[in-house]
Amino acid sequence: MNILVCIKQVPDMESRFKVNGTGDWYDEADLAYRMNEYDEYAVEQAVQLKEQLGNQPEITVLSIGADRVGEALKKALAMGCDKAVQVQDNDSARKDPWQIANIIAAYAGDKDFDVIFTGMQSQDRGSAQVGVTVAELLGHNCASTLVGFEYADGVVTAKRELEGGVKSVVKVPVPALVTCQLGLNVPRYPTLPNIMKAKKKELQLVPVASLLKEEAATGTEKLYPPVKSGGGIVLEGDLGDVADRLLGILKEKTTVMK
Amino acid sequence: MHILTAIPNCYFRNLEHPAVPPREEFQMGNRFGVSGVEQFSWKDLLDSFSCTECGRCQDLCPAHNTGKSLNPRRVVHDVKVNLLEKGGKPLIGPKGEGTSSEESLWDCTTCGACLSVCPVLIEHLPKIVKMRRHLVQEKARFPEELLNLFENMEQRSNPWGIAPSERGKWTSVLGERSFKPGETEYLFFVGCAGSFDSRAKQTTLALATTLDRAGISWGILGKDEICCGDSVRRLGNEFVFDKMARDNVAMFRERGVKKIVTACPHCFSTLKNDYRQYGVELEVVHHSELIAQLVGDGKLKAPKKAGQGKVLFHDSCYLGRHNDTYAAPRAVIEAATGASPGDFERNRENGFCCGAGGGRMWMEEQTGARINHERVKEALKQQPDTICVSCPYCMTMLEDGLKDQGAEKVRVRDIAEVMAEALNDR
Repeated sequence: MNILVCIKQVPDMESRFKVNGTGDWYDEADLAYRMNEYDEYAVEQAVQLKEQLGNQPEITVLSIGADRVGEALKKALAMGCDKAVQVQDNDSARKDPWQIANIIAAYAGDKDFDVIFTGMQSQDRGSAQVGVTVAELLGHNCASTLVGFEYADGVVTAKRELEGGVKSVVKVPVPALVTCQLGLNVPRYPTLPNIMKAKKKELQLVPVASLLKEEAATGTEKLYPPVKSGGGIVLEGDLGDVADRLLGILKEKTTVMK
Repeated sequence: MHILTAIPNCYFRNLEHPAVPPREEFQMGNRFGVSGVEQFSWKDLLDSFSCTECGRCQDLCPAHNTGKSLNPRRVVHDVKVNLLEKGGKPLIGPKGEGTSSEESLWDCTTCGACLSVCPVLIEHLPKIVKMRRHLVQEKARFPEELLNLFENMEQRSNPWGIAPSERGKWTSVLGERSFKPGETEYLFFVGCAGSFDSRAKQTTLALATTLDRAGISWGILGKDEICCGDSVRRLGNEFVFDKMARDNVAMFRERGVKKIVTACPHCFSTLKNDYRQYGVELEVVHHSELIAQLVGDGKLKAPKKAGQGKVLFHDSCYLGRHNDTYAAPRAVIEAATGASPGDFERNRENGFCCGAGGGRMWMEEQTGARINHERVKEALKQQPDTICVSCPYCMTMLEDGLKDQGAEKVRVRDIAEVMAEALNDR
């Protein structure tokens, strides 16, 4: 069995973000990067599948971006992936989801991956389009937003999270692509021997130009923080008085008392 | 047997005073930590044969005293039994003679009471840390709440996981206070608690204004400061500690840092003792020592203002037992309030931990009584108005303990706050 995991390196979401000089993305200065949270679930699930199948499958982990993505790939290797592919692209932030999906599909096209894992979405752009588009381009079966994963006899049984707390269970024959959601698993903490072994695993470099033939379908016009629309009110003082004032505000400015 | 080995065991004691864990070599193919008795050092094994089973260590151990699995005497005894049975049993596994349970290893607060009370100088603590290293580094097996801690430390260089850019924010009321190489005398190593914990930030400000009043030249590293690594080292994550220590030492060298003051005993002990293993000799002072010295030199006029009521002083393990500093914090309180503080029943070398050391600050306490409750009850017997501390972790643990006991009217104050309040009252 051949497994592919697609991961993205994103800024730490605790960071303070600033809009960049050209006004179309965030400024990368002073940001610390890490593996996209949803992609960590993807890596973990891939490694669990490998373990379930007696360590026979080979897991390839792929990331698109500048050389800094090597750190995220190394973590995936330390968690148990077998080899890494960096699609070299210093301008990956300007590629739209259509182009990113096409890069991945072009790489995966002739490699017969049985199961492809991606995160449900990225923490920075959050389009949630890449995984499902890759499945479409490759003609693979697809299930999104997984909170449960089982595999037996060439069929993935996927538990999907739908709106309003509703879950659904679908059976997806391989070749399949699944996108992973919070709650699927707890990503492992790499052991030190595995961190060391990861340093010796293969890292293949592929120039983006050799894979990307598509123009962008969408573009970013402008990036800006939301306009501040009024702040909160803190009511202080005697409890009865505070309650009366709150009641007044609720009656006057909202519809909850009507 | 102990009659034969106890004397050489005393002779071969570790000369680094607080039992600082040894460094590890991160080479491919190495074993990390200790999972089998044969991986202990000869001194660890000699220790186990020297035990007279007197039980002083278990009597003073905060974990054992609150009904947890850990018993330091048993840890040493189990090493001996395991060796005598030539490792036929697992060293770490289901509890039984010759085997320490994982739970017991995680119970340790590294307070060092067992070390300090042992008549034949057995070093219990490094053995526990070595076994934790195996669990964390080779097996990735640890209480689940630590996953978050390790990630925060690796990703954001602080246990809270707050953005590093927020670190220097507390100075906003004081203006720019960067450490300037060649100009500033003291690096104020604020530490993670002092930078991010809202209660500890008040101590930070109190110390800053006190140093200003004494005319001391100090500066901070701001967003470039990273955690000293104390918690991760005691928790057995030596790989992450090693990186933090090397990064810190490199930064101290690059900026020409010679003197450091800190209000956290964990930063203090780590920078002063652990970093020696990385080839730096820094002049590190805990703020209690610096303030006491400034009072002694007449740079701070002792205000001697009573206003804290009845004061008890709680010894921090890493200032007291690990670094033998008992007089300085008491001297600061005396200078500030005009009277030396009262002592807990268990004090100085026999002091009782708050429960937060050894990385326990970041873990749940699920078994037995809570250590901080025990300590708070001990204090309440004397009906104090104020409990004085010299450590941000002790501050958190005692304040939480007082709240849980319904005794919020008792204040907890850092020695720097007591001094700053008294100076402002003059």
